[in-house]
Amino acid sequence: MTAALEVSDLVVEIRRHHHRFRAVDHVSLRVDRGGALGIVGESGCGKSITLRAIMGLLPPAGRVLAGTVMVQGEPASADSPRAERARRRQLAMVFQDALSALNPVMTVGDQIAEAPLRVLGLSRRSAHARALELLGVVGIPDPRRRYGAYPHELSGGLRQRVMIAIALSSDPTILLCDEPTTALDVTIQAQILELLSDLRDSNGLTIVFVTHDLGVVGQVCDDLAVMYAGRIVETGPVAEVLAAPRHPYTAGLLASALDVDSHASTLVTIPGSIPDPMRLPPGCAFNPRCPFAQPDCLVSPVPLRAVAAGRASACLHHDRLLQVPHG
Amino acid sequence: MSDANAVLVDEDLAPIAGRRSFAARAARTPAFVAGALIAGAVLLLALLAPVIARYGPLQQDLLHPLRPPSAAHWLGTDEFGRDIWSRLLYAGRTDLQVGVLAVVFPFCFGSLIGTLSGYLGGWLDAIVMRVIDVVLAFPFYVLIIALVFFVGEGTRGIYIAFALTDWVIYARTVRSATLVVRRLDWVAAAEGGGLSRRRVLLRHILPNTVSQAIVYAMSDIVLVILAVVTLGYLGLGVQPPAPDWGAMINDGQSFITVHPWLSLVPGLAVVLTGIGLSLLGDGLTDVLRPQ
Repeated sequence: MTAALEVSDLVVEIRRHHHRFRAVDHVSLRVDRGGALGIVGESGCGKSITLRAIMGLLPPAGRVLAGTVMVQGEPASADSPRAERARRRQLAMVFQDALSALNPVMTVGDQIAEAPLRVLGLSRRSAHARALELLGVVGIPDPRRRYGAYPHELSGGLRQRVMIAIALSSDPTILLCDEPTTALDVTIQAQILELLSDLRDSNGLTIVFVTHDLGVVGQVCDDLAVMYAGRIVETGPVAEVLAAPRHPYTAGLLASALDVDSHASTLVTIPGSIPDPMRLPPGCAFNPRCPFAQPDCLVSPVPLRAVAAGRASACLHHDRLLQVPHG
Repeated sequence: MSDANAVLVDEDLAPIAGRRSFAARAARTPAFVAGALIAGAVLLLALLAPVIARYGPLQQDLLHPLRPPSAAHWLGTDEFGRDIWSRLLYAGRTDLQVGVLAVVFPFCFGSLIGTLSGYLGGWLDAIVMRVIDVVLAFPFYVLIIALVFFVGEGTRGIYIAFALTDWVIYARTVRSATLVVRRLDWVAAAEGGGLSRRRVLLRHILPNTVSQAIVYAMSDIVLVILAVVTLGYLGLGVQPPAPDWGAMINDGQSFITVHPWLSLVPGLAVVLTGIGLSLLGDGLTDVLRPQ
């Protein structure tokens, strides 16, 4: 089966005040059709930049140095901007902050109808009907009345649904979600996650879900990729990775996740902080914070290697994680 | 759909509240109301000049020069016996017309250049910014006076001088607004959705940046009127005998000690118009700001 989305050896460089650093370093991802992949990591680890590079929406300071993006078996980049737009139409993005992702001076209905009208070439009437239909699909009550609302007139949850409707309006096959629930409170978050799962089941959408919340990944995704300092450090099926991480960073993230049932009085944290991307430590970027660090960890960056069926880790000493209990 | 949608907050089911039209929001902004009233009154008086003026603006009465205010001449007469109230109204017509017309081209051209420069960036932006720097390096009035002197006095000269210099302010304002807006996610969403650049520019960027240019245009009209008045005072503006507030101030200057109202009245008209339009601009900033 060809993958819906396949990213190979993606390298993205960011310029900042005459300095350059690699925000994304040799990242490879693969999502099957109808699959859902979660990308997890701390702020600044390169997960959002990875999504934007896939979408072709890097900020002016960003540049793709190497790597290929294959969408439904075809390369996403093309010779002409027009052809590239058509390729990337398979992709749509759901952003973190719905308020800044919606045009404040355009009604939400017109924003949803825009792609059907201008890109898919529907008539004005069908585009309007399609927008009403999409408002219904994302679970907005009374679509007819909401069609003429401006973004600031809607609640956070409804805005997020509108944004998902806009993302769906260009008939994409792959939905890239950039922390779509981070700005929402817990009940609304649960509704949005359920909506995304429904869309995946009913429309066969492929989903890539970027978040820093391991709990969210468990609800939506089948597979998980953990990113640290621009690199993927561990991949595998969500349940397996969460049950038995094979990279100390993943183990640290899990240990620091809040557990309702535990009565521990202190919050477990990973010692230290994420490294400055312009001054990465030698060798494995995680070694200064790693409880298992050995002299050989400082020699060179550690590539991702298969450690079990369907599992890969970028840790030289991943075996040691099998000896300590988690939870 | 799923049962996830069964759980919605009350707010989502309530009718859309707090929707206020442009007019309703404007009515609640004191600066806008005051500005609209003053500027509206000035505009109305100027427009109705042929109806309410009791004499022609050029009609002389050499037997009754320099008369103080009376029932026949509400604001008195000037050195040629012309009725000052009538001249004031006709002068307002001229000055408002020149003010508005002189701003139209800089507003359109500057906004367009600013949008393109901010959105496309690169070499276009570099060139535009250098040109703007060069224009701004000159003191504004010196440049205007030199240009009017060069292309010829009168309204034509004023239009050309402003067309050449004034667009830079609009370009800079709109460019910086565009730089902010183009980084926002809805622009990324529109681009990612496959819309053409032209469409993204016209529908998603321009409507969010042009309000700042509109607000500036209000104060700019005041600026142009002041410039016209200043040029009129220097003899480079609207040419006599056509009525103009600046020329009226200039003419009255010789009699300032004995008949001060000759200069005072047109001066007050300039001040009043300026206050009205400035308040209108301030009010518009609040009314047009997206929630």
